[in-house]
Amino acid sequence: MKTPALNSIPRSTRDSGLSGGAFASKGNTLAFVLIFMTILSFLMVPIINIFTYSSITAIKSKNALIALNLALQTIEELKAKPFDDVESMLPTDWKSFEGEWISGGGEKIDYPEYYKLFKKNVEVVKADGGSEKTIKKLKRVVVSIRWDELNDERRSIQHVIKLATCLTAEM
Amino acid sequence: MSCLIKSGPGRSLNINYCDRRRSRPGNAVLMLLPIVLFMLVFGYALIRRTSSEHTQSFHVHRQNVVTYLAEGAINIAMQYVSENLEIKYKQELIEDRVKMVNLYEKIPEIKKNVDFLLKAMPGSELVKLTMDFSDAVKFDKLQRDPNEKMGLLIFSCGVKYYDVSTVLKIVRDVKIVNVSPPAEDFTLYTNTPQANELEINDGPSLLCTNKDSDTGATGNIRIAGGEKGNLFHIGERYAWDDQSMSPMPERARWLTYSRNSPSQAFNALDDLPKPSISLVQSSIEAELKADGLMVVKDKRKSFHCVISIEVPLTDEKVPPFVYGGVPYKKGGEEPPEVKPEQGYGKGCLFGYATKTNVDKKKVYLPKTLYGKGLKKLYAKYNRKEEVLTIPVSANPPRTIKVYVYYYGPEIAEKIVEPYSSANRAFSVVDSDSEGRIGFDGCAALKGEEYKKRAFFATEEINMKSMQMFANGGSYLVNGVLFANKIEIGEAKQSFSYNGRFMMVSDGEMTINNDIYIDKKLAKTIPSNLTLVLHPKNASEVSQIVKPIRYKAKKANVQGEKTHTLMLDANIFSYHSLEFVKGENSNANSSAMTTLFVFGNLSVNRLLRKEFSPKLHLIYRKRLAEKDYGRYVVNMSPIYSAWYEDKKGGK
Repeated sequence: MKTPALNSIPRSTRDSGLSGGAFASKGNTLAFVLIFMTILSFLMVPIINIFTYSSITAIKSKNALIALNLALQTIEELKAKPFDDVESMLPTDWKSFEGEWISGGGEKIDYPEYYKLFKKNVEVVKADGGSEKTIKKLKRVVVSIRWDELNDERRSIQHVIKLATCLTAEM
Repeated sequence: MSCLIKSGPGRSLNINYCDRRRSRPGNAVLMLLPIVLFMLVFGYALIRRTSSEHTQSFHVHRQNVVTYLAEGAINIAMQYVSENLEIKYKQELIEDRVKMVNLYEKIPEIKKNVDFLLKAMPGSELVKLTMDFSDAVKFDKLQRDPNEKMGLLIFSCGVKYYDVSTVLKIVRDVKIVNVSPPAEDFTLYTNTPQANELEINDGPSLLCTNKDSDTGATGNIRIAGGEKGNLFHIGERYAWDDQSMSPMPERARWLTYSRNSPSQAFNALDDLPKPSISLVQSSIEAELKADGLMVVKDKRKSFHCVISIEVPLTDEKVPPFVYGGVPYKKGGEEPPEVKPEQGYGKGCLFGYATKTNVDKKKVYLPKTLYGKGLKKLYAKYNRKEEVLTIPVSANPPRTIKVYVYYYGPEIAEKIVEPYSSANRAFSVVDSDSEGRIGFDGCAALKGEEYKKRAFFATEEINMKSMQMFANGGSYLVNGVLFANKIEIGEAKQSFSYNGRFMMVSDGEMTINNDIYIDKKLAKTIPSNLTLVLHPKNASEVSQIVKPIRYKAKKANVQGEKTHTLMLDANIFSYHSLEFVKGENSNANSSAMTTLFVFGNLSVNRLLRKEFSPKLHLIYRKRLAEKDYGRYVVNMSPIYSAWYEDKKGGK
């Protein structure tokens, strides 16, 4: 089958396209763009919200994980200490994680700047009951990690996580 | 933009795409829609991911919470059990009656502390807290003691926190060991005979006080004898010359005295140190009761000299060898006034009490005195006696009465089996009818057997490494400590302890200072220490093994400066004891020292020249028979295993 020559097709037909007509083709494009932009903007609102929310959640989970690890680190440090050196902090005394973190072999690593957000408190209480010997050799330890975070309404709220255990002099 | 399409020879097709796109404007929307859709899906996925991450962090937190709560609860339980292991659980463990004990329900103290712990984490809940003793095995299949064993004490704790729960199991090794000292019923126990029958009298003075003043128990003495037995000489406490290692008068010296001038012999005897029990009445007319109590019947104040003589008198009327007790004048009176037969003799024979109850006329003697060829002393010891007359003065001729005691060479009955050398699992000569080998009450185990029983085994034990057992001003230990090298005390620091334990070495052991029981705590904590040096290469054949070394310490006894070492301990040393010069005393030789052992001494062979010229064994039997008093239960200081099964939070 032979393809007809392009110049054999009438110009009006060629210019009109699918919608047909020169006037329609110009107006339609602008309208479509506007409609499209409107629809797109409507669609983009939840999409942007999704990304914003997702970003906030990512920060929250990052903070939670850091706090968890700092709680673990603190409680393990307490476990490694000599029993008599495990002491309580004042309830109002929240110590932030800054300064030297790990050192050894002439090198040291400081806490990341971001960790300043997190503060710890350690509550140590002697055993509640039993013989005098038992009370002397048992300590209940509660480690709390606190940090501030913006909520959905951009207000600062405080988060606290806790870990509790009992340490003995025997081990 | 155009494209030229050749549709045939010499022809081309020119398409204007701009024109075509302009002709289909809806395509742009359709093209963007997938992008929007993709962003929606991607955004949703991102939300899901970050949300789940956030949720996961909470789950991880909850899992951490349950783990630490369970560990804390188990710590509470282990602390309680550790404190009450001896009092509450020893008997049950020995009798295998510890099976799935519900500690939370049964022990109010534990319940209270666990509840207090859980209160710190609202929402948490205890599911269970139990203890189970399992997999108990003997240290050796052939061991004779049925109560010694090791097993696993398994602590299980289940804790729930919201949707997360865990069951944590911590396993601790438990060892139940017998800490009885070797030859516990003996003040002095020797296993292998001396090279000759007289050697036992050689070397330093050896004094045994067999009556335990605390418990009333009486110790025995076993001096192994060879084919000829031992020749014991009553009165072993003096030294001919304080500076001499040998208290035995030399034959030549004696003969010189006697030949030249008999009075010199008397003078020489007169110069000897005075016996410490001079008020004791005649021991001739005495009988020994079954419990070792000798009642002195003779109330006369006169006392006959007691001398043991190896051979009958020679033609010169002078014994060629005189050992042991010697006569001396009474209460400072000059020789002319002394009636020879009234001279006091010394009575520090083996087993003789140092402090006699003069008022009640009681003297404690060992219940039995063992040894091949050794017959019994006094009534019980099957004494033979002769009255001899020894000239001590020529002009005017004077004599003194001498009682002579003979021992052996006849073989006495074998009452206690000696332990064998270290080439057996348990150092006992023969197995019983069932083929078991084991403990006969006198045996010392091999070093490696003690190592199996040890709850703490290391290369070296000294005061520094003992710090983990520090309990205020003393050490508190229960069980067996094993090391290749042990140093007890330091030059300026004595070793004070409580608890029932053994310090065992298969290499070397040095005692640097006094060892004593902390009396304050001893009222509530039964205390006894046994030092054991059983070197790896010890055997009957090889005698080249290290003895326990000790250093003397300066002391002020009744206003006089002396060099002493006081040991509240039982001692087993395969190769006896050896004096070494210490930093805290200027005593250059053992001749200047006195070694007091409040306990017992058991050795393979008594090599007396190596140690103090004054060894005073004061019998102590500190381990109670009842309530498994000689057994100690130990929990390993570290976990043997940790197993956790978490559920939920996924």
